[in-house]
Amino acid sequence: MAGKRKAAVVSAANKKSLPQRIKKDLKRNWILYLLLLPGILSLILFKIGPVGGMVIAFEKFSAFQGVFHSKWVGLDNFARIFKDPYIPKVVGNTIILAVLSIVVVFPIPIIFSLFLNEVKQKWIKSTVQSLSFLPYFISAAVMVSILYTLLSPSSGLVNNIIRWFGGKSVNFMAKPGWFRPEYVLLEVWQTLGYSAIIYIAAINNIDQELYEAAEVDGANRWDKIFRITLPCISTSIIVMLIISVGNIFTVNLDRILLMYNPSVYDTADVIQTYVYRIAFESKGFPDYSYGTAVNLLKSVIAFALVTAVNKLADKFAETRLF
Amino acid sequence: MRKKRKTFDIVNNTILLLVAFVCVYPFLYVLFTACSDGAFLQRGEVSFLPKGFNLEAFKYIMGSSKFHVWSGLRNSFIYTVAGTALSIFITYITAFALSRERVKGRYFLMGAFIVTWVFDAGIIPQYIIYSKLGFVDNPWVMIVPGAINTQFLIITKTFIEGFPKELEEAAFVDGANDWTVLTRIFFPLSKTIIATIGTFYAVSIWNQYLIPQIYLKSDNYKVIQQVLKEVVITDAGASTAFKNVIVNGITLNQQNLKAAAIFIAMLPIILVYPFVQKYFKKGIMIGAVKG
Amino acid sequence: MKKKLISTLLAAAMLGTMVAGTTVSADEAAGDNTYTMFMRNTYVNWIKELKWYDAAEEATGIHVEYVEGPDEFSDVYAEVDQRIISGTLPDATMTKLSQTNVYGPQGAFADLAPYIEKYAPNLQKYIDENPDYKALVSDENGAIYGLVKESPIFQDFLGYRADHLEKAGIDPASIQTVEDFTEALRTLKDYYGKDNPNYYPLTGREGVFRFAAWFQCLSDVSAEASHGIYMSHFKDYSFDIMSDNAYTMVETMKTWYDEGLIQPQFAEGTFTEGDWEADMINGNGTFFYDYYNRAEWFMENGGPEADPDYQMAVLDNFKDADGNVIVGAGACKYNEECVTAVNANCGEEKIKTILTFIDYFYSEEGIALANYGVEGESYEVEADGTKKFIADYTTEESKPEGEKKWSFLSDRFTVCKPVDNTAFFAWNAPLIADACANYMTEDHIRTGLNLTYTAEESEELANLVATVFDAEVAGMTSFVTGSKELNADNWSAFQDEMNGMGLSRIEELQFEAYNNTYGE
Repeated sequence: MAGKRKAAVVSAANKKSLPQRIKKDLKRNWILYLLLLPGILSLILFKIGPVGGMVIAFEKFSAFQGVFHSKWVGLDNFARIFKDPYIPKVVGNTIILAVLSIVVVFPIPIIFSLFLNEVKQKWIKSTVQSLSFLPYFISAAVMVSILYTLLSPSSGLVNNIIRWFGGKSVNFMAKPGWFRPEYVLLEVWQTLGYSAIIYIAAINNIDQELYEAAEVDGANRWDKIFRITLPCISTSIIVMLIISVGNIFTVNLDRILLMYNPSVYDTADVIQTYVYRIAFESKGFPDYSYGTAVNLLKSVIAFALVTAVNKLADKFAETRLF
Repeated sequence: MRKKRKTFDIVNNTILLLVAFVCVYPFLYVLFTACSDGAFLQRGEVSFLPKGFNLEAFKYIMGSSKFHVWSGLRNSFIYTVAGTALSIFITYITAFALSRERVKGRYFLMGAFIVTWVFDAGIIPQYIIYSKLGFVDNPWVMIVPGAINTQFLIITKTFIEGFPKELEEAAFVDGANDWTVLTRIFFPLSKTIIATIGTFYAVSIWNQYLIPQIYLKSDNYKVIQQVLKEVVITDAGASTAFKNVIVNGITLNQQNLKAAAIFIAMLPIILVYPFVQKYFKKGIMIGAVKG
Repeated sequence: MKKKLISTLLAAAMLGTMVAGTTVSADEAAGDNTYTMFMRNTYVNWIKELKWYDAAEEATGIHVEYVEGPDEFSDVYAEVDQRIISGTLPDATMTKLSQTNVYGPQGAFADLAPYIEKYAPNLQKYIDENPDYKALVSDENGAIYGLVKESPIFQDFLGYRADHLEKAGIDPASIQTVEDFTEALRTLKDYYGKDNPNYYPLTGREGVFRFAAWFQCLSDVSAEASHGIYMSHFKDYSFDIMSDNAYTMVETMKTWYDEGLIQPQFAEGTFTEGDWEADMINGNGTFFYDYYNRAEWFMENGGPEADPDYQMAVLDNFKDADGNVIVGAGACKYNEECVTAVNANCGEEKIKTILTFIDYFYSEEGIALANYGVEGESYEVEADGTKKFIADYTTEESKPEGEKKWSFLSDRFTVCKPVDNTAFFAWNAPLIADACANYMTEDHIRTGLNLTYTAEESEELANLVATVFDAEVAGMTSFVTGSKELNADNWSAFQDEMNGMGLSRIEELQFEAYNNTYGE
């Protein structure tokens, strides 16, 4: 019956005119289209709408004239980007944070997984994994609040210890030089267990016979780690690395917004926080058009990067993000 | 050789347990600070364990109307429950429809979802459009606009596509329509994926900070994450001042109360974590993409 | 069946949101004698405690429904921006003059001029009698988009723990100059710092560059020139980095910082009000330079409970090398950061209600009520006709939060009203009232000047100040904390950088505005 129905659709499609075909399709599949309706609405209103709203990057947007009637200024806002003294600074900060995240944060879960794999006792393995995974689900607000508490100059644990050793307390949250280490620390803390899960899964997929064969050949623990485990999970490592490179413009915005104050702008101000500030925390007048232009430029570059990376991942490991 | 192996295991186990401990110790530290007598904190005496154990800080901060901790928790809870339910529902039906070959333009739609996901419009155009839709200072902003997360949509769609064709065809023979196929056959078979995306939706709504910070302005709509920011990070003084309070002979000071607020904000996640962590892991395995 | 129901409900809810969401904004209902107003939350909380405010609502029969905003001023105005763009402005709003200057002509705020003439006779009279006010609030076409609040004229005071000084053996009268002050800080640090690592003799909140007056490097504007960012609300943070004295200030503050004489977080600009209060109450600080009645505030808010010897006092302004009193930065007569504007979508009836309420405070009855309260309850009239408070300051002001009380702190933005400076200073405990009598005199305070700008100038100035001011503070902070070395070369490079960012343009705009406002 189902086969017949399909055949009927095909033959009908060949014969009938377009409106008739649409009518027939709707009649047959109306439930599916109805189910799709909320999704389409949501797509148009919440996802395509904002992309369309980016047109204000080419306008001198005024709330009173609206998106459609504000004055068109072409590329003026983009020209301003290249003259804005803040832009090199925020772009630099964004990239430095991303590079730090790759160089410092990236290898840690790999090492962690390799050693975790060596644990024989199941309960230790699962306990360590569960505990290290927990921070991934804790909000940026909680994480940063904890950081404030731990680093408080007058009462935080860290400064208590510094003073215990006779040192002078440090106001970590107000020192531009400390922002990046703090950010990266939170990143490690938050993503260690998460990334480890991926590597551990990859390790579990390795054929056990490889190890058995190696043992017969007299390989020791380190041989097995470096000669078998690491090469076997290299695909996962490369994919993860590629993803991180693709996300170079993606910072944890919540975290930075919660961590930063004017005294650390020098290192903490990134593209997204700058855009946020232009629009929502401006002490002068908010410049929605300029902020959108900055973001648009960033998004175009990021989009190209992610798309390229996706191709790359596909080629390398036959894994696609989308 | 044997002995060497044993030493390695002991060292390795110890280091890994230590790493795990370091990962969770800050949470314990917050708890200990909240439970300690402020008089000790003042002198910088509390370090690794609570001193002068008491629960007054929790009582005080939950009871005080100044801090909005209670209303923040309530709101976060409502938004999370409603938002998760709506998200699961819409994501599932959309994924279902998009996985049916009979739907025309499904590739186009999927493409639109993906492009708008990867291409970030940014917070400003979003604000302009959402404000025209009436979402400013409107609690629905926490529930409706985020109902379809493209990543979870893809995961769900892939999952549904994994069902054998015969399943559906047999149902059609019995006179079922698409809706009954969805509700009677597919949905009951999708418990894992629903639990997985459900937990992810729930956690992401609960943890959200930027969206509420931009859109929700009234105190009675604010979520716990915003309250936390105000209480712990901004700490605006006089009007909201944490003066030292003495309750039942126990000193409560800034640190006690801040720590209590932090702990309350993370408690729900910690409470449900043991029960849902397997779904988290599953989600990461399927998605293998940064959320 | 059940699932069908749920899905229908959800779909309906989703559509409902779209529809419901769009109907927030200005209340159209007219003639019900109420209006909504957006205001900083702290002010709203204070209004709720004021006995005289209730009396005013009763007298006018008008009730204001306040929409609470954030606590930080900059956040309040940012929210006004957002409420304008999202169309969620209530009937009236607290705003600042630059916003009414810019948004008014664009159509966000109603032009009140014709309605004032029609419905607010007392306010009209006030405007006519005060040409400086009229010039400030009306644009070149005579339109009035916002009503600026009058402010008392006062400066900040240097408060201190008298018991600390006594124990450390310092005679307050010996502290005459900034150098004496630094010496006193050192003595205190030696005395209290040896047992308490958290002790810093000088503490305070938020911005640290409120000491410019002491070093005679306040910003200034006159017919000859304009120096530094000069805006009326910059009372506490007015400085001119081009002056040599500013270098001395930064140098001195660096000494304080290096020697641990100033709370480091305060110097770094991250010490919150809560942190500072806790420090002052818990004996971690001795001196602070802040709102003039704060010394008394600490006496009533935990000081004596924390330490039975706790005693606050206020120091006189410092003297310069020749022994002359150094003039402090005073407030402007009109507070340009406290402006009431009315949503342009309001109908005439609504505007009438709003103006009627405001007008009441410009009537004789309203002025007396807002400055002195109710006769026989909070004040009485002496034989010579002067008014005298009979409500006790300490009893009233120490009532627990949320309880109704008499209070007359006219610098707060409650309503637009004329200010009686005598009443403002009289409403204090003896500690502060005495200090006011001695130090709030003309030779102690320089009153700020209000300058008038056009819409374009307002916008340009506000945008420039927003970036330049923060950069100035950040730059000076880095010199104080040593993250940048303080020397003549770096300092002049810093000055050049600020000029490049727009400081010189700011001075140009201010100078023009001065001549437009006060010239000829």
